Amino acid sequence: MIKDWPEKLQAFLENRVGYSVFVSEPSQLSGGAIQENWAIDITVAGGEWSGFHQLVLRSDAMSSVKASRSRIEEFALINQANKAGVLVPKPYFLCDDEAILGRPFFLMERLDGMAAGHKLARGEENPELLYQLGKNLALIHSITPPKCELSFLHDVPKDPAKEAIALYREFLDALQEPHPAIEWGLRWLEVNVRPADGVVLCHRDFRTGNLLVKNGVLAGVLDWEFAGWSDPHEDIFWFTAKCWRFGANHRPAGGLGQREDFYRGYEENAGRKINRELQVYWEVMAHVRWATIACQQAERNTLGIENSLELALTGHVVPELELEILSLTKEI
Amino acid sequence: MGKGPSGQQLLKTALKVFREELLPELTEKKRYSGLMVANALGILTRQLNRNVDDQVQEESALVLLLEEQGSIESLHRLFAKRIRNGDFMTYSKTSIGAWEVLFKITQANVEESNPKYLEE
Repeated sequence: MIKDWPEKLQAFLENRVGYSVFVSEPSQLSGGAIQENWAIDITVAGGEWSGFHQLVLRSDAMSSVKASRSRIEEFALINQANKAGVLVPKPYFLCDDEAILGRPFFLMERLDGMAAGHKLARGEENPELLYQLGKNLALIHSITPPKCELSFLHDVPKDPAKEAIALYREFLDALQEPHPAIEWGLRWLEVNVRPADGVVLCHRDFRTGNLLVKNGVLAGVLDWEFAGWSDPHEDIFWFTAKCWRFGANHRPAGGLGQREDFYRGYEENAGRKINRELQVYWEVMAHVRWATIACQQAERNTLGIENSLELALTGHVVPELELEILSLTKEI
Repeated sequence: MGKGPSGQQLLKTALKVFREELLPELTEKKRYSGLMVANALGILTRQLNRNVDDQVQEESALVLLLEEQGSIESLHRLFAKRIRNGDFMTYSKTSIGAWEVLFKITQANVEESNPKYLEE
């Protein structure tokens, strides 16, 4: 961020609301290797925004990965999700003028709750929460193409799985080191490919860790930076993939509980059945995708683009993802 | 007179001090960074302790499977290329062998990066 940015933010807000605004000292929130999140309180002197508001300012961080969306696009995605009834932080102000803070940013409602995956996975099993998560995923999937407000999204894929395989190979080719275990997963996905079961808006990172929970109840779906058109099963089985259970493997639904509670919430609200036969296929895809992204993040550190211990350690997550890919694909 | 503790021994002791004495003293805000440092030192310890024979065995297994000589990196590159070309994705003795070699290499990498994962 550029120097004196809280003052510049104040000027931006005063211009937008038409009244004087007091901006509190910003405090950086944890998480987000790809973007920065700051907690900010504002007090507005009058008009429709009159009063005290707790907000989150979200901007790009130094690091980025190739599949990540800009903050401008993410703002539009949260807006659409909000309109579709998905529990999300309400998006308030977008600024694409880099003269203000040095990079684009947006401000959204600051919801109360906890997202930390390892803590949530240690709590009580929670079938009601899983039902809500299934329901909210169904609401996200109710957004279907074409959608002019989301015209920045890539073309609607005819065959999301095939296009994903091609994209991840492209990502692997750009890396310095070879990754035979990920290649094994990709080849298996290619051989076992199944036709798409419809194309909808997918969050593409809907998993424990990106879901804000307060007192066991879903408060909001966060982190929309990877969203795009895809097969709904990509999201469903990303959530249940082993890599997002935070060690609670006896609870295959995100480390929070059982699959069927999540599926029930989804099916009762989506008006479509989940094809359970696609579970292994899309869980292999989930591990391949996360392994590829983790390799990209680690390489940013290795090549000296960004000196970050967090990114370096992300590279050490790759072997366990690869082991799961191999375990799931033993039967050729 | 010996040369004193080896790098591995020093690292082991330093890691113990860091985990037991320093980490509990860190504030909540700095604890995540502390845990990352402990994790990194743990990986380094395991890398230093990795048996040289393991690498020789890995190389031999790849040479046997791929019927090519080369450095570990070039063999991995060739293995990746052949997998993409579809050389191993039919039900055959070679494919099962390829999967087994790959699984063993990956398992050794997990032992280095996160051995707890193998206990789960």
